[in-house]
Amino acid sequence: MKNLRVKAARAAKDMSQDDLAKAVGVSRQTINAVEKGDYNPTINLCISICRALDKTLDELFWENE
Amino acid sequence: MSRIMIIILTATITAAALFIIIMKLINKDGRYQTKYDERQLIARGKAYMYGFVGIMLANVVMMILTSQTSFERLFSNIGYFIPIFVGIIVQISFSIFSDSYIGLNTNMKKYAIFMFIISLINIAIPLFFNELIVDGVLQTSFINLCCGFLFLIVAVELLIKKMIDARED
Repeated sequence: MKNLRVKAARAAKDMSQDDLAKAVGVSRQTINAVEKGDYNPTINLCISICRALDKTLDELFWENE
Repeated sequence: MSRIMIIILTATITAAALFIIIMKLINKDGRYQTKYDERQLIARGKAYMYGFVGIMLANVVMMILTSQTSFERLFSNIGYFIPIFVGIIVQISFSIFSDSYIGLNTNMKKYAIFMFIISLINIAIPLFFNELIVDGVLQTSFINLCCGFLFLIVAVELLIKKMIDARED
């Protein structure tokens, strides 16, 4: 399932996938895979992404029913 | 095993051991170590698994091939190398196409050019300086030829992957 919230938060901060990847210390393809829902990141990577985008884990990764 | 083969094997193992020791000394702080992120490490694990399967399958094929007399003679010197070569190709190809071959701190362009040059050297050695087949037996220079093609495959696959990524962007 696509994670559109990460994509939206990244776009809101005017960051490219490459910028976010550099900020959290992963490859651009990994950010792309997270956004496309092809890869489930570990909690450490989720926290790093949240910090880079000034969001909480709930806002970006918690699935509301 | 012939005396020349034993000398080549001993020299290779010694050179590899020396290389590892020197690299360990130079790279004490891990500066030159290739770094991968968590997704890449998982993908690399899968790549090694598929590489292992590739080695097993190639071993079976080689066993069937060398059970025939003509092939047994042809591969008598370097038959052990073919499955390893197949395994490496499978591992590298899977890594490249799952974005886990090039590390976070690797310059892909420089690496691809380096691979291309190394491949040319390895292809030139058996073609211009050594004989490939003597008395119907493949010589060790065939390993150079295989390595040359391996590095060429890596360079081409990196180029293809870059083109695919550029199209996706």
